[in-house]
Amino acid sequence: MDKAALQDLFAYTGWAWDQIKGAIPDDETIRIAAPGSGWPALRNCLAHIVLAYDRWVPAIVDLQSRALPELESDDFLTWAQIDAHRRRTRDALESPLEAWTDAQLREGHTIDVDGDPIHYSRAELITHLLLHERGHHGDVTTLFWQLGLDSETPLEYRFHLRRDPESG
Amino acid sequence: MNAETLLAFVRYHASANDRILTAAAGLSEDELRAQDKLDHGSAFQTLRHLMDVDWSWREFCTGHNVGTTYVDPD
Repeated sequence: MDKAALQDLFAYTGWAWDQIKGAIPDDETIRIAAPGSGWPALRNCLAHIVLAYDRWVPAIVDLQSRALPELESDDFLTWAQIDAHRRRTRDALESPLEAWTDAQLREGHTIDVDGDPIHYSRAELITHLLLHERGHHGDVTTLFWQLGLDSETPLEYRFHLRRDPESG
Repeated sequence: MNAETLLAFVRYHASANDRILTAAAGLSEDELRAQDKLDHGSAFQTLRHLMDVDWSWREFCTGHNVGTTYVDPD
């Protein structure tokens, strides 16, 4: 995957995050139990999306992954807390992504993944991280439905393109 | 997005679908159709939605707009 495509996926996941934020009415909704869900609450799913950056960005930048951090009981309880982590983790990826060339992104490296040496390029791992987030968009919309929110919140890629019907 | 990227997505999509369908093949008919607190109601309807969307957008991309036609409406 080339740099332009990675940056487009990065922008798309940023746009989708804003849609999620706009659909959550208050902090209580983040914390309440979602009946029928595999996630205890919305906060757990959003935290998982964000904390995956703490696991994979070190692998992308420094070629060494970290364990997925534990979700602390006093964290990710409010949107302000969640968004602060979101900005921190996204900034840690966005800056180096801007700096790398296509050749650097495509170059293979031996990455330490939980102690196992595995051959990946930075582009492959960035794709993995962004598709991981995209995959959990499905969980978010299901959680919205289970919590009685608008589950039609459009998170799909084509809506990110912002084309109106007349634009051809 | 170039052809190389799109092909990577298509291959990943096929590989993920294969894993999903392999897991679904292990469910009984009752489990597959059981209603639960899911926006599509059951595992079967969720899988059907995946198939519908795959099929209808593939048709659209090859010049055949199927509108709201479903692969399996029941």
